[in-house]
Amino acid sequence: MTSLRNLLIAVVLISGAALGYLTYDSTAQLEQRTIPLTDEVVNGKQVWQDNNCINCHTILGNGAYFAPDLTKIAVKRDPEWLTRFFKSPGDLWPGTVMSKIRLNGEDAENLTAFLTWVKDIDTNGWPPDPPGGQDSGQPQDGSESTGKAIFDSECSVCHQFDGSGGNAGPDLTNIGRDRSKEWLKSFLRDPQEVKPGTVMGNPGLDSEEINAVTEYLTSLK
Amino acid sequence: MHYRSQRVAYPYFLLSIILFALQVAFGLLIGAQFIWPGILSGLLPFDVGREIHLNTMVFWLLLGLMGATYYLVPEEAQRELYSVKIARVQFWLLALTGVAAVVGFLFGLTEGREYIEAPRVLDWLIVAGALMFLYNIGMTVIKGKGWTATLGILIGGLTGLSVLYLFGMKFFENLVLDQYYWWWVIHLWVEGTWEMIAAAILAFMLIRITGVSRKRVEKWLYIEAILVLATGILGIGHHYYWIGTPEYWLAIGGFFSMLEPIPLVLMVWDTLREYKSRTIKHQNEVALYWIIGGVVLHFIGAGVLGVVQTLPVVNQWTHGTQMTASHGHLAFFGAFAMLVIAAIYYMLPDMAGRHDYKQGLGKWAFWTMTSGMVAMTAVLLGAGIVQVYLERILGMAFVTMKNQYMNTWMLWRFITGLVFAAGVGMLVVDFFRLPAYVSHRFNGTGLKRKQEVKSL
Repeated sequence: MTSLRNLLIAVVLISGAALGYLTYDSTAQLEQRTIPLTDEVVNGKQVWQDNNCINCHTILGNGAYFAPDLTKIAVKRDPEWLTRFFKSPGDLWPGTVMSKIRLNGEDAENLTAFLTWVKDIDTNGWPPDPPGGQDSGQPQDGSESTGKAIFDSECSVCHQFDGSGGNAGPDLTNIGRDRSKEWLKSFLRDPQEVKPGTVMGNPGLDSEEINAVTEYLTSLK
Repeated sequence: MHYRSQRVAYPYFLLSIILFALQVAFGLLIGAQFIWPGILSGLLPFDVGREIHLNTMVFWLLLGLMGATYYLVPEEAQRELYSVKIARVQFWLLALTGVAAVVGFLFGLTEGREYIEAPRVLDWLIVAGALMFLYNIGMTVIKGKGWTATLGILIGGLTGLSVLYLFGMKFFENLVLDQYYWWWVIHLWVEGTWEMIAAAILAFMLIRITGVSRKRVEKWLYIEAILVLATGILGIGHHYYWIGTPEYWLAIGGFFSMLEPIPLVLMVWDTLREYKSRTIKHQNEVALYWIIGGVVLHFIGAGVLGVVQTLPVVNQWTHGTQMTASHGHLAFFGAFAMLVIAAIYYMLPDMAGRHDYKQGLGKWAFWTMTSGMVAMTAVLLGAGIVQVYLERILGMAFVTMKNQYMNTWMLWRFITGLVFAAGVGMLVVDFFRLPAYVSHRFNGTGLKRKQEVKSL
């Protein structure tokens, strides 16, 4: 029994020492794996905690599974849109359960700075590109199926198309009748320029993706 | 041999059961909000309901483990508790801290870090409560008749638990460091120190309920503790794959956490073996149900459902989905909830000196809760697989996936939750029928009455 006890103590000491060393090394590598912190980022992290964001969302995959993971949200949404959203989510996304959150201007900007900082954390490639989605590495031929994948991943949060999608933005099922392909393409390139004051943020698509999603949206006319 | 001071465990168990019922009630609420987001969302938004769901769980499990420790230590150290007064003051301190924390959550006072959301000032009160607790049981053992393996592993675990809590109290500017040390609390609790505490309490009960020799039970307790810590401490690496920590964690975390189920298998094997070679036929069958059910679901929930998604090549797809929720629910239930309930069912009748209470309702509670939780775990696993496919493989937006493909799964989750809650209802009713409650009620606290001690 004494030898088992000593073995137990040895296991704790050795594993503890190993964890201690790895902690030291991981901390030392932090500078290469994250970009430098600013006051805005740190204050934004405080805003993140004060508003209990983690009990609906995940970040770096940890948190609650009620709302989207926000690790890469600043890749998908531009900073202006995020800040506007945090000030009054219900305006940009009618009916969202987040509508009670109303940050003041400074907190909203800091939270945007925090999430923008988070997107550049070196996460060893997480989350991976969806192998069956738009970034699957297959040639984007501008086909309808690529367009559907983009729609499902980017547009369907707010828009309906052919009975599938959200209600925050207009139903796009008949958009091909109402708008020309050229109009759609220039709108998707920069919504604010075509329709100043629109609640829609820049979707951040490249021209091939814009072509594909335009083909898909006009396929039902 | 029983000691009068063991009875201080009673209020800990009582509050533990009440908070458990509260945890499940809030679980039902947020389970319903998943399907119908509008329900009570103005009064109790999802995030508030969830933090109450998590924190009442941490709190009732800790109170239950503390109560079990207070019951166990005098018997193991063979003397009265060092101070009944400290144990009572500590109880009220922690109880009021817990109430303050929950009320604070309702008013939006939170540190916004899962499981440890209590504001800083309450953190210090919790630390004070933990110090009183450690001092009290430490002094009891020091003044008692020497250490046993059970005591050593139990107190080692409790000390580690308290020290680790300190790492959850700081505000970290860098999110990566924040999550790094957050896992020191969460992971090194549930896959390290809490495991030690639970294994020690399990050994204490096994010795008494099966009549198998202390030597044999404690030898296996040592072996399990050694393997839990040898695999679990560096097994923390499975949380360091994607949070901004270096790539070598993929190898370290994968290797050690693949080994983590081994002590859990041993625990099942060992418990069943002690049960089969029991030398006494104990009257308290319900306690045995929870003990054996606990080790089995501990292995399935923590071991099997954990290990299948612990390798980086799998985890990159499943991380942060309902698959995690599936694993989390069964692991916490099997590893800790069932153990605390087993302790309550063993210790309360023991406290009153009679194990011949009516056991029908206790068995119903066991089967209802167990089948409810197993079914919920299965539903969440299915939901997780669908989520992984749509979101991670096809790249569908989370909101679209949730609104269009999750409602049926979540409806079943809610129904299985209702089944579980029905079992909890039976447990609560049964709690108030257990002999200790009856004697507690008719004899005041029982702590001051000498004649009662003789009857124990």
